[in-house]
Amino acid sequence: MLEVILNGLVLGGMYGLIALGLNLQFGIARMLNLSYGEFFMYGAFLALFALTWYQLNPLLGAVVAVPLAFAINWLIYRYLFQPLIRRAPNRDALDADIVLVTFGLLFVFRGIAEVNLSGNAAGYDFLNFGVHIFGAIVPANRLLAFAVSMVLGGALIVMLRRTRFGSALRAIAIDPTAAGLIGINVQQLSALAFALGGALIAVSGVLVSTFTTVSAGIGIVYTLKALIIVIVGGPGRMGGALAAGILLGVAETVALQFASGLTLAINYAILILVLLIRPTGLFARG
Amino acid sequence: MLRLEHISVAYGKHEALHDVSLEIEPSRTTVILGANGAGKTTLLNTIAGLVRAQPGGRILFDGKPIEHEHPHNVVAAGIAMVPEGRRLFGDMTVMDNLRLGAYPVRARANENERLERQLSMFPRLAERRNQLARTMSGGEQQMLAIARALMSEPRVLLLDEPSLGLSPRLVSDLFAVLRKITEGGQSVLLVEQNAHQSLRLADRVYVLENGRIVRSGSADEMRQDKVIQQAYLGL
Amino acid sequence: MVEKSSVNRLAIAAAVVGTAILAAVPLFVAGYGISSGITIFANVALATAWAFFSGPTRYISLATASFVGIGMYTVVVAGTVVPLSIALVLAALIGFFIALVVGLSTLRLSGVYFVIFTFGLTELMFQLATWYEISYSRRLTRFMPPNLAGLDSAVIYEILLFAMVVALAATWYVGRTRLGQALRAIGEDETVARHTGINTTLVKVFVFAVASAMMAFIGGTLALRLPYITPSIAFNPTWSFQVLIAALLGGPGFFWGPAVGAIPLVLLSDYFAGRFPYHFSIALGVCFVIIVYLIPGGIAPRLAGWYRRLAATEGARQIRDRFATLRHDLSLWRRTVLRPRLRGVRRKAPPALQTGDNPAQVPLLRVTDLRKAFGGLVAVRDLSFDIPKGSIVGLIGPNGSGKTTVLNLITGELVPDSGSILLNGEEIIGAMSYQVNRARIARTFQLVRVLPGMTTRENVALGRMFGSDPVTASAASKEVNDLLERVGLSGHAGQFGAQLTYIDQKRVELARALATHPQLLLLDEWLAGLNPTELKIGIELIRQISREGVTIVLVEHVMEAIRALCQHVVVMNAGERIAEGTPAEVLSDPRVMQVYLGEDDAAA
Repeated sequence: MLEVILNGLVLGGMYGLIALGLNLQFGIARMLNLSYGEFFMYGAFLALFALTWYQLNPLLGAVVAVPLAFAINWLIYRYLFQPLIRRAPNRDALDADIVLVTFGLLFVFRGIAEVNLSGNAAGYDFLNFGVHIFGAIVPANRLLAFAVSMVLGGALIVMLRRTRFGSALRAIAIDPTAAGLIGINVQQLSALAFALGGALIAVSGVLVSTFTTVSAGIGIVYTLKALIIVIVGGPGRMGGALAAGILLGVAETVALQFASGLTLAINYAILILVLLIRPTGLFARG
Repeated sequence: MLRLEHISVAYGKHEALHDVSLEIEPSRTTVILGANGAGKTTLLNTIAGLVRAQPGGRILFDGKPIEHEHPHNVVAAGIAMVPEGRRLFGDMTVMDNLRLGAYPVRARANENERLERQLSMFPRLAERRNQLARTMSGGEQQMLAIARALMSEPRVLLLDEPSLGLSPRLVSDLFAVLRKITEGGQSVLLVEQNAHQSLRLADRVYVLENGRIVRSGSADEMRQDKVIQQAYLGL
Repeated sequence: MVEKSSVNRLAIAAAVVGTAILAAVPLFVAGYGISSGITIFANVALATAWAFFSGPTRYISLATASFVGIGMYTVVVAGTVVPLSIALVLAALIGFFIALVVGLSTLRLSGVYFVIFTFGLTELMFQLATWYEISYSRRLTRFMPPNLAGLDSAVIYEILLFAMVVALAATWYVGRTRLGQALRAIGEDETVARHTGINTTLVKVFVFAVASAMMAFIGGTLALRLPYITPSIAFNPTWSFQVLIAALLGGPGFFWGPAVGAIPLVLLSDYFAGRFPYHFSIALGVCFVIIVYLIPGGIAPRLAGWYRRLAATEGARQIRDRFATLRHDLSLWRRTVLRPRLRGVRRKAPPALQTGDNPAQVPLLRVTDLRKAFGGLVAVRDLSFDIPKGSIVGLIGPNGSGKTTVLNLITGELVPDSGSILLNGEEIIGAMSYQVNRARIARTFQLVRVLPGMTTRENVALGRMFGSDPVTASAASKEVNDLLERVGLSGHAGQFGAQLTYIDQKRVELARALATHPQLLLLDEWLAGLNPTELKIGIELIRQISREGVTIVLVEHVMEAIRALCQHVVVMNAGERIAEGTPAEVLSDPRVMQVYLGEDDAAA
């Protein structure tokens, strides 16, 4: 049982990172990006290629994936979203437009991947040995992924709390109008936050690919996981996202003991429960 | 210093402001009085850059037109607003809010010095420096909102109904603070319902009705004027 | 709304003939033609079913593929034991019930949750099906039962034609009924819909379930073309995507919009999807993004605009005149020859209004010790007052004193922390906003909320159709016209809410509130921003409404109106009542003057 819980915590830590990225996009930049998971998929494949084509450490795939994801997401915000923001008569219309546009982008990105990879699943071996912790065995690749997630997540949270840039981002998440009134260039920083979110999910893709098989179609699954975690934890709440991620990771790993292939069902079960009981999020304030 | 020329603002078909012209002078307190729906908040929002005026109107700050600027550029130019309802960052501490006030590049140089100055001007804030903003009382929140705006070292401070929801005693404290601000060389543009106290503070008064300036004059003139009491109590 | 019924009769006839022609096609055409027909009908039907719910309500569903897949599996599984027709009905029912579950979980919350839930639903279904098939059937493919596998494609063609006609007809018909108006109101401004007696949750969940049932039926029929199904075939997200493109390209505002969008899409995909499936996906995605930018609202409004311009030309006018003569002759024949042979339908007498006849002792509304706090901020504190029946009571106080919060507590938008609100002696705390409206309490809003995409008449009719005394759309129209005349809006009846001036929008709101037949009318700063002439007219209008027996609560800053209208005034400050009495008493009370004007004894 301990092994299951430990593995669940390890998985959950990574889910937390995935959700943090979405929180940057959804909680701060306030854009619901349905193509979020596609960058996870690209990160995963770039790691795969680093190993299989260039015989490099797959984590080096991040060297290409991260700047690319950052740049593309920034461009998306700047050139696709900003015209919509300017033109929308109200918030609801804008949200609808963003959902539609990112839904379309999802198919574009997935299509590009499928053209080149034709829907096959792929995996690779990396650090595939067990590590003993408290008497339980945790695969080293998961442990490494967990460690990197914790470092990145921690760095993000420190940045948000201790730097001027981070404070500005938090201010935008709380009240974008007031943020503008104290001199924050809300659009510019939102674009950066959005781009940063994309970079984070790309890193997650690199990390997770070390221990899962990936295919061109997994984007949707991870977008969903991130959305569910953000809703469960409370949109905009970084701590909540981490906690909810861990909750989900543990729940999935435990459930996996009983029935494999039902991970998404577990996710949805948790989502439905939260929506029915406490829609503002388990860890949100009152 | 800050001048509005022929400013008109419409929301769809509704004309919220019509051909408004006024002037804010340095080191002076200007007060705008008017009933609900008269356009007072729209006026401040237009100066702050949250709302766009219709073509033909101009807002000149030291001769430079700013009517097209985004809010953050208006702040950078030296005009700071304390909006209606204060709009503090509730989940952040007093210190966080104040430090964010010094966000414009221009204001970062003497940030710590100015921070100390705000804390001495508002001792209640100093006591509660690590408290979350949303747990403070209405009066304290208002003080924090003003201190935050002052952190950007503005030359003009805009305030939208700062006395909202405050007890008469707190309102007196508030206006004492505003008096000190103008003594320090900054200008204040105040939109208020609370006529008497603001009249005592004001140098110049404009009365806004249905989006138009219907009266303007020095505070002395307006104090004698039955119009103010008429407008508010129908006496 | 319901207009030009004679034009519709012609259109209906054309539709019937067109359907008959389409149905006869398989007799003359074979193979590819039938197959194209099947694809077109399926896409049009699915896109129309999607737009049936998501079009007017603007709740974007990304779950079309889920219900298509549900239908497919139901037919393949049930088809082994029941006849095809039963299997298809079963598919529709299962789709209906699953949609109920989805709807009840998410449609009580804002649209974003619905989108997210439907986004992942297909993937969830896919995983569930995969898990089940692997665990229990030991393989992913599920073959069509033999009796269905050899089905003639002409049968499939006819079934899908039927489904398409049903979907189009249902959308067209509902658009003309009260339900259609309710759906549009929800999409325009859900708060207004709630306050106008519409049970928004029920409407949303029900219509979503019906749309999903249609999709499941269509999905089940589509399965008949295939030799076998797998989870990835059944739950293919491309369905959700394609249907969305078709509906948005065509434009969900007209019932024929999705059909117009589906046809080019089908023709393109027939050509490309076979050859370059993945490139096609990319191309679709790019086109989709372009549609969102360049053609928001779809091409249907543009087509409708061209049609209108065409219809305004001289040639069109002559054609119409000729038809008008024909119609006149026909109706004359009907009245003098046909109708005497048929029995007319007895109309029901309108139900008697609740007179609210309680003896004058019990106040119409009694508020006791009402309290509401938001976090640390107490907005309303131990507030008590009575509203006598038939009176006009003013509720005044400086900004931020809690007046609007009190109104929100009365109408059920907010739930108080403690206290009671009795309407004719009955507790109304806990009632939902639409129930409060049906109990005959109506309100206007501080920031005017007129439904921008609906006309003046439609806005006001909404109140009549759903208020305390609901009637059908046609029964409402006479009274709506009277109301419009009363508030001075007859000339603007056909203008859209977004085009009206501020004053006229206020009038619309008032008329809409009156249309719900309130016994208590809450006016939230309705007289704000009016010039002296308009103010006089407004005051007189309120006085008239009061004379007709409606009790009024007037939240105001315009003291002239308070003096002119109110018998009684309650003054609030910082959530508490600080004074009460006649306008003269209250407005000369030094405490009141102090909160308004500030501390000063230099009052004249």
